[in-house]
Amino acid sequence: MALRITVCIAQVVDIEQPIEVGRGACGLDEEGLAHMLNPADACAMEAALQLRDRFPGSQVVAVSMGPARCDEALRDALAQGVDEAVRVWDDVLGGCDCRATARVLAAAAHKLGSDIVVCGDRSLDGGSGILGAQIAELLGLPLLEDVVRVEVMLDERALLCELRLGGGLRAVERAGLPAVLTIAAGVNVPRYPALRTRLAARSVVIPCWSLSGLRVGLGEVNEEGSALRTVALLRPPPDPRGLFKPSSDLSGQERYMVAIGGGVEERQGGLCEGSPDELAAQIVADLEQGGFLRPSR
Amino acid sequence: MVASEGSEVWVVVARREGEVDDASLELVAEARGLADRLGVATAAVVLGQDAHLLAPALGEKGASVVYSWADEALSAKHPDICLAALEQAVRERSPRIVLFAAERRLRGVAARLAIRLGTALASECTKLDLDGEGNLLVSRPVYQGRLSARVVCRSFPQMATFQSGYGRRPGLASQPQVVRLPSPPSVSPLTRREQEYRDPPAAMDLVGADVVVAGGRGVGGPDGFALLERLADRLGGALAASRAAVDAGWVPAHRQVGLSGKTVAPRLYIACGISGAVHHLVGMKDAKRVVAINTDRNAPIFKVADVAIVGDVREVLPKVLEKMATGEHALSGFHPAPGGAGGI
Repeated sequence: MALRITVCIAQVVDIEQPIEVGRGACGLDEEGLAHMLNPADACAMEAALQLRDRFPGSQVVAVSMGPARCDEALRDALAQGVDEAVRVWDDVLGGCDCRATARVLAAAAHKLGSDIVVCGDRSLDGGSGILGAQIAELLGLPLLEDVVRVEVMLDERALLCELRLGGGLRAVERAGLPAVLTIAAGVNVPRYPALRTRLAARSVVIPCWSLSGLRVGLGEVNEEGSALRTVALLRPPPDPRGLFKPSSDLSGQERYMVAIGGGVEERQGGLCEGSPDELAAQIVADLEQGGFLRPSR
Repeated sequence: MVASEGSEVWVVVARREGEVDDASLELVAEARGLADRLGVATAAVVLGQDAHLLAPALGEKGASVVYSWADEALSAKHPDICLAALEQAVRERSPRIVLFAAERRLRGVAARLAIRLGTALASECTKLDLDGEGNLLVSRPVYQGRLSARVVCRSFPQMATFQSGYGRRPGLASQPQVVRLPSPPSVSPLTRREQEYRDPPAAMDLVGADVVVAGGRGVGGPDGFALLERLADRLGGALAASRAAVDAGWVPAHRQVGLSGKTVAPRLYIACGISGAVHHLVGMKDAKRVVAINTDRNAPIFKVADVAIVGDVREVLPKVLEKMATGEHALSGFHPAPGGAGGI
């Protein structure tokens, strides 16, 4: 038994370079802009490849929505070891929002007949962080977000995932296949492509699917179908912060130390002294008052 | 698609340990600003059955209506049920704008709700405004915050998630009316939560931890850190250290807080045997509450502490743990998380 895994990847603007707002003030000046594979997507792909390696005969297909330059990201994916790469594009997709992107990728994942769809949890450029959830909903599939570990029970057609809930909380959730998983950047280290696969990837012809083949209506995903419209792209306003001024009573060295400390505010806690027992009671009372200790049920 | 002439501005409230999350309170005040400009009501939508307890806090920020259900299953553990309830409520009452705090437990619910309602979601916004026609106009960071996009929402209900810390309004107190909504249709959840637990203190991510228990030279060694670890475990927090303790080899370097370590802003920071060199204070000055234990009454850490305990960590902590282990706290363990802890 084998798995069919689809991994959604995106080519994003490399944000290490200087970026300029282009004419029309709604997009970037594309000239000479360098692109890269979205880091979270690279981790999503690694997770997909690890799953494939555990189940012989399984296949990973990388899908990307974007213009011809996205072939570069898909070639990186092939070099990394995915079995197939597909690009989806139509010129009407130029101004599409996150929901339209989700529609296109969901349709592609559906056409590929995926058991598991894996997405990065957010992109470096748009950064919506909702693509995976929207794909899951469009396909009517279970959604498992910020997954750090996956266990697949193929015979039961189910999976168990360990997920991060934030604030140090984790959960183990169970869902039936097919399912959609999102992976955050940094949960694994993407493998280094072998020279052999890198060379092989150079000559692969990457198919480009059109919207008609996916049965996605143009009206759903073109600019009219995209309900979010970017009207301006601006430099963010500066974040005003009070400058800290060290007290002139301090010695030069102390003032320097306080200044590099960014001005630590003093608090009004009076000293508590006493026996260890009294002090401990004081601490417990404070924790209780702050709601950090829950009374027993 | 939901009718376009929806009337209210809604905030779906995120919860933390049963209380309203600060980010949601902040958002209610923002929502009130929008609602007043549109001349409509502000409503807070509470997932869970104890909305009447939260109504005063929500009213203080400007909610004039509080919607809730008499249904126990509405919590973050059951996103499918929350989704069904919210979908039904929105279809029945057709709000004009639906807002969520950009909190990870609600992120997936917001994204999926938008798809169900056939509308778009502007996520992680830092500013909420209205354009000339009364449409929701948001600002959201793009390209890792290097640029900010101004985005108009053109489908109803207009939905957005809002990042905490960007609220600018104090809120306008009102007396909210609590409205019970009919129970959501029964759904069979697509995912089932089998287990929920906290990372052990020494493995928990320091950045983002609610509680941090940190130790310095005054802890005396690995034995002392074992005490700290027990305390952190008991409070559901992470274990951290000052540079002195890391250099002594008692704690691995990735646990260090300070200038050459990590910067944390937990709700509670307990500094044990840390003198409070400026290099350390920089890393923890944004903690909401600081408890410091040190033998030296002139230690600089006491200047930034809300509770300053002059004593030896090795004597005080065992007593603290003892007091927690007996009496009324005996069963209040937080590891694994008890039933109500993960409330949405």
